[in-house]
Amino acid sequence: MRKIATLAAGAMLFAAVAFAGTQNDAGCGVGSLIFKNNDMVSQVLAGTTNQYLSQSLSITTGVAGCTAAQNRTASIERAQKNFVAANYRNLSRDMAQGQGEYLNSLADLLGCSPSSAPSFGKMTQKNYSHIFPGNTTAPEKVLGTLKIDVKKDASLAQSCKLI
Amino acid sequence: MRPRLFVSALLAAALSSISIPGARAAGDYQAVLQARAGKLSLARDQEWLNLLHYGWTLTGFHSQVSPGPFFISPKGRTDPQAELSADLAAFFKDAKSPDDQAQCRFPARYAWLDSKLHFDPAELAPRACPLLDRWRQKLSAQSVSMVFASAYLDNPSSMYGHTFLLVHHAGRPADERLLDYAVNYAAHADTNDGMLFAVDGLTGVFPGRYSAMPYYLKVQEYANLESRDLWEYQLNLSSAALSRLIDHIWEMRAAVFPYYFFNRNCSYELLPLLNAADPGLDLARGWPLYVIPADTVRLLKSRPGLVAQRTYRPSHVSRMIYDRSRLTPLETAIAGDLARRGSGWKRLAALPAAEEARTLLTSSEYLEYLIDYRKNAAPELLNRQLKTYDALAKTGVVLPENPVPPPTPPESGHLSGRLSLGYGALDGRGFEDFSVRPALHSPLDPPQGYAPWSALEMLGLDLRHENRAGRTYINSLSLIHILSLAPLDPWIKKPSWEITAGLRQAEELGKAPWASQYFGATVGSGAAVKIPGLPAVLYALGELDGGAGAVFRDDGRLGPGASGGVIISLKSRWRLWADASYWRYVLGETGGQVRLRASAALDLSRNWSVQFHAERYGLAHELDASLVRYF
Repeated sequence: MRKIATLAAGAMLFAAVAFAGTQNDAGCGVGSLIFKNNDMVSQVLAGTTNQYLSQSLSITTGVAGCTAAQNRTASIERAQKNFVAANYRNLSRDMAQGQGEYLNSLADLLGCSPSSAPSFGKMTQKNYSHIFPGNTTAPEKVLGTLKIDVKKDASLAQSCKLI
Repeated sequence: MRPRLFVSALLAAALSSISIPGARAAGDYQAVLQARAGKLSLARDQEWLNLLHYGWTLTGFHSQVSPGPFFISPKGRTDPQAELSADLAAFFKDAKSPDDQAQCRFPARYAWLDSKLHFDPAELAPRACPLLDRWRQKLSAQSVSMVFASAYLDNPSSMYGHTFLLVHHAGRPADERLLDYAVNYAAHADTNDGMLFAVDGLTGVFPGRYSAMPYYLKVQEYANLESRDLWEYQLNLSSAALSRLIDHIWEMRAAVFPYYFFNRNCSYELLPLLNAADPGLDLARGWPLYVIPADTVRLLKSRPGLVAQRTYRPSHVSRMIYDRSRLTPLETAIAGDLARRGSGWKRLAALPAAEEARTLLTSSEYLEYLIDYRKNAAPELLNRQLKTYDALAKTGVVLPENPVPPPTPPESGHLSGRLSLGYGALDGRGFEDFSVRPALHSPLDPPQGYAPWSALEMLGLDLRHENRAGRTYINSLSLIHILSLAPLDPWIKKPSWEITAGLRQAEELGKAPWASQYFGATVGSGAAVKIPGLPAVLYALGELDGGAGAVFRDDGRLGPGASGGVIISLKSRWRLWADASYWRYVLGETGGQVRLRASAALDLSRNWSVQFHAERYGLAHELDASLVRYF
């Protein structure tokens, strides 16, 4: 039987713990979400509650644990970082294949116009080994390198407004 | 009638002629509004009842929301008029922070009352709501979908599937959903009570709450972690209804409901939100007996024009299986070797560029499956995956988008409930048989829209009337039956298993069936294999079977056993199922028992079938034919 719990723990902890250089987010942000009911037994027994994220994400979409100030400041950058951290390997695949839904969403977060999606994809494919030098490259670093590469590309630098 | 004149005249008469315009006006205006609301009977208006989630019970109106900050009036939960009056009064009052003001906490109620009572902004100042505005801005709702996550048998809370709402952001391309916000209702269990957890979830002990999160988290959770397909049903709501929905979701921050797994569950609780948005929808008011997520999808589709569009989002495993099916056997072998052994690079290099890219992509998907979203994945798997991605990028081939063909959507499967009426003979003695099963599916039922080769049956009651003795009795009351067969696949490693529990009759002992009742449970685990070229599986399970009842010597029995069988699904109108079991009981009523069964089902239409059943169990022989209706 699938290790439900470790799967559950995997997505978030993988991003947060494996990659987070410093914990300067101090428990704030998507990367800090942990699934509490980690062991399979309690997952199975918890089965009638349909609950996976034990940290409640309030309706305000400020993630639990963030102060109002943290929510306000650099929220675009936070959204970009969160997206890369939570969808690390999906982005890895999309960049390698030169197109994909996750890549489109990231381009959107970077403020790129939808028409530039094909050239965005081609650029990430060309620069793949530069953007992902290792399989434990931190999400912030991936994002940083990506932004540098976007700036180097003349047409993308024009069309992507939120670098 | 001019209340203000009247009051000021009174004051002038009773007091000195000093007047305090502000306070007097506010008190008066509030009274005006209260009176107008009473005259229009707003507290009885269906829209008010929807917003406060009131249902009618024998003891009067009762809100489904638990007592708490959702109600301004202490009597609010059972008194719509008291709540309305309290809300009107609260709109006038100041609060510690702008967002705590009633207008900002309950914007949908405020907007609705405004539309009915036409507030005078000079008398009742509209408040600024910074947090609410940021929320509305963040969502920028253009449309909303209901998303159905297909069933996942390995986790009890997911066995029936799950639904949540998805709010689409204006200004994004229609197919870009990942950054949209999902609104989800779930129980929030704060304790780790083990066994009690399950019971608490059934009985409303846990509070249920709404929460919102980016859709990509939901996709990660369902499509990736749990390999569940997602179905997005985009709804047609007017922009006014949509705006009301968003505001009402905001109001639900304050709401806590008792969470009941069977009826007041994740799927049910989305319906009142839609009702509040568009009262014309009139979806499931009141307290249903049980709610199955797929049924809520059917409910939405039954409203003409409500469902605009349906989109299929395959799970990661569905994606991998489909991509693998498009490779040649050689490419499949290379993809497998690359992932499992890190070998095959030379054979890969011999392929043309596009085929090489496809093989690499599929291999990386297999690696993703092997890595299994584990926190501490084996480094060589991660390294291999990076090497695969690197090579894929170097091919320079941009593979075209390759949509996975959608299977039968969940709402098109047979209906959730099952009734049957039959006639048969047990040891040559005729009987009539009546059974009802509220949920959900077995391999004898039409397979489309359900997990293949699976059974999920709960609370099935089977009544019999034996003609010669003239006796009616409960032949079985099944609490739970889950069968999950995972045909062996070179890439997917998943065990097959079965669990059964309920009241049965031990006919095999040869005593009268109405006097052989016991409580039995069986657990089994094993393997299944698909028969090449046929829509059929063969399976074998090692089992442990136990029973407790006066019919047994020492009032019980326990022992190991094994079952094996074959299920054939011909042209989707016929199913055949044959199995053989042997148990050797070592405790209690010891001894061996053999059971042989064969069943056939033929579909007459989408919700009508006939089934035939033959069984030889110990000393009992049984034959049965039934007419089956799904409801």
